[in-house]
Amino acid sequence: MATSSYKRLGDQAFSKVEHINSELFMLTYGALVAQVVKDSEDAAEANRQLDQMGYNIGVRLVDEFLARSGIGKISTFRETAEIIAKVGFKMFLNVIATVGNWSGDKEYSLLFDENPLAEFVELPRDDATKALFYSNLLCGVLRGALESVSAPFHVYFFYTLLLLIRFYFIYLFICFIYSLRCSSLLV
Amino acid sequence: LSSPLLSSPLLSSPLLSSPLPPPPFPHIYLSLLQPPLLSFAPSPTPPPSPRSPPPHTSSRPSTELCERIHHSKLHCAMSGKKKSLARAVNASSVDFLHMECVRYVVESACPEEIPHTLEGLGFSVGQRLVERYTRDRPRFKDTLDIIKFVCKEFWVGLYSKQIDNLRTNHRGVYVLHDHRFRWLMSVSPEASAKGVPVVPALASRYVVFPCGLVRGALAALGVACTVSADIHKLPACSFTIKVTK
Repeated sequence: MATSSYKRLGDQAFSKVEHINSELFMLTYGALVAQVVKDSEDAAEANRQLDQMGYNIGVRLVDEFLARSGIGKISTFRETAEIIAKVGFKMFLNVIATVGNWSGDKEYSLLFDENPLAEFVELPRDDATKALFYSNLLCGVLRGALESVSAPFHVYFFYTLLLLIRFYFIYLFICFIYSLRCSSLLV
Repeated sequence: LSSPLLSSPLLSSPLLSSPLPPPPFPHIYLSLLQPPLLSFAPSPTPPPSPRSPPPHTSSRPSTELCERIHHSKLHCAMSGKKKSLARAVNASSVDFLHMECVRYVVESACPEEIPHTLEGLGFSVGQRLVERYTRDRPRFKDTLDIIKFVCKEFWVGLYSKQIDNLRTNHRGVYVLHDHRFRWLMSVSPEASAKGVPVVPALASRYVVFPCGLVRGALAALGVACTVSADIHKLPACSFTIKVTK
């Protein structure tokens, strides 16, 4: 299946659903992360909580995705990668990822131009928050969604100073995610 | 001796079907996630006001670093080609996120603190959100004008619909009635013994965050108040705003 056809499918799916402004979403997520961080003892615990929340969301989200996106039967793992990148993220967050860095047939990365959760966020560079993965919810969502429809995936989240988010999927085992939080502007 | 109630349905004005227009470039925004909020220290830090300017002299090195980053990003954005930040997402993403937010707070906080925490989250979000929505607007004339703004533009920005009914007694009490509240749409009524559907007690959790949103929005606009919600019949819900002097 061509990438362009998936892109078109994603656009169609997104145009069919109800839209709202993304600011509420981003600000709610920011407040939620702040609460999770306040409740947690360290960054690892906070990451785990965010991942668990994403997992719960993903388990429910996949039903809506399958119902509304019009995806047919998928035969290969490569196709799932394209579908997640073009249709899945487009339908829910209005961003598109590119799939790349295939290693073998079981590991790949999703690259984003911008982080849809972190438009207004500026995190301090403390030692404590350096280990925090702000967008860890996305990992959980992917993990939950994929686990509901197929074999379990593990998703891990790393932080680098790159201007991209990269998801590496290792089929059945480990996914790595590199991310940068986009910054806000300050008066 | 009942106080006069004014009923003013807001169904006549057309719904805003498109998302809010993007703010003009270059943008200058208040920092929306202040550094002290993300501290892991057990002692509670005082919540910073979003309107206060960033401290120019700070003892913490992280804050200085933040300021440097802020200034550099501001410079980049002013000169660069950053596209508009206002973008649409799927409304169900927000629904899922809110459900998960409620679940997390319910499971992690003690029962007495749940409404306080959830409302606090809504308060901070509402404060920041209303600053985005009132950007290019002329000054509000009075409190009723502010409440009407909340009923129309703010509610549309949140739930893609306006408040269906606004009542006031002109003495600082406003009742906002929503016939189909979005976050209650997926809550099903329990069947009681008589066969009449009854509102489950847990449904009240899902309106605490919106109360906080409204309270935060009004606080940022200069109206100190308390907001409470009543659910009489799913999915309709009414929010009562009591302005405190």
